[in-house]
Amino acid sequence: MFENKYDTSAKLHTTLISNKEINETHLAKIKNRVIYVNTLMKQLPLPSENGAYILLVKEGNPLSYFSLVKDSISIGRSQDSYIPVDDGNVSRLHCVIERNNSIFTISDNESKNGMTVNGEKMQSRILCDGDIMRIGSYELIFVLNKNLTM
Amino acid sequence: MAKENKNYDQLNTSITFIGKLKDEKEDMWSLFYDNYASMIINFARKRGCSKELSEDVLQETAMALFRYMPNFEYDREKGKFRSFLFKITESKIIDAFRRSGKLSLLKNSEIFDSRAVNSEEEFASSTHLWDQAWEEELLSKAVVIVRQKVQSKTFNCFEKVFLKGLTAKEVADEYRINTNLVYQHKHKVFKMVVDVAKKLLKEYNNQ
Repeated sequence: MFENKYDTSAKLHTTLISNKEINETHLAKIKNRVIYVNTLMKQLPLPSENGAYILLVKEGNPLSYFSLVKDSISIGRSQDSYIPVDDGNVSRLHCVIERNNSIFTISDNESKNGMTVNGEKMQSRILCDGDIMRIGSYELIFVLNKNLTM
Repeated sequence: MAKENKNYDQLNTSITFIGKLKDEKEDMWSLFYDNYASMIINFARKRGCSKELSEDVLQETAMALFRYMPNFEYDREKGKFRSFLFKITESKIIDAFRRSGKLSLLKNSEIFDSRAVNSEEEFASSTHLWDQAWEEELLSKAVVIVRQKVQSKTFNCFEKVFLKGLTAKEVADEYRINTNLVYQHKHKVFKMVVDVAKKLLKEYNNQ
């Protein structure tokens, strides 16, 4: 490695160019998000069963995990919601998480105040492990618990 | 890309590093992240991920590492930490492509139809890109270190000629120095970068 001058020179050039494409701000946000989520998960450990979960958080306090076992999960102020959220700024049926095979998508249900995912206002997002949705004063954190075959 | 390298010496021994990761100390996680995040992004980009998808891969890899690290048993005979990280990252890239419904865009997708990364062919193909990303990462870190070691004018001569494609004469005119001196600066910095990268490689090879 690094013995061939011309090869190394080309790689160094590629490196310096590709580094310009990396968004340091985004990397810092991801880092903070992962640390934050894992801090919450230390306070309230993830259920041991494999699967997808929503961790409901209010003002930095983890409240409970909801297992995403159904194909459609309703989230809102209505007590009929699968994940009920008691907040005046949350619509009765605020958003929905739909499962297609092992892919989970959250969609805003034309709610009055909308939702953010990882700090950005969004209508819909295919969820990734560690994503943080905010509706009203609550955070919904998507976490996956699955074994990694190594 | 500006990166902090002040904690570099803390990565001297992989066992210590992994032990600290297992302890889940936040500063060590930060160290892990600062040292590997851009490499993971770079690898994901090489595998065909968009910028957005590569950031998803980084998030999921970091999440997975938090989760798996407490059960990770470091064994020099079985492999290095980097191999462990490669396997996690690779599986997250496949997940990301599946989610986006663009598995066909994954480089060498025909050999990634099955979830497991088992065959020698697919392993070699993917590890080659991982190794490339690793080499580039070491060079990148070396550049940051060398930039701190040389005078700014010396580094600027290298950067302007090597990266920005200016001629030595253009740079010489800008700094009012001899053209030969611009070449000397460029070669000096390049040699230092390679030397530092080799040193870093040696340090990391135990991981």
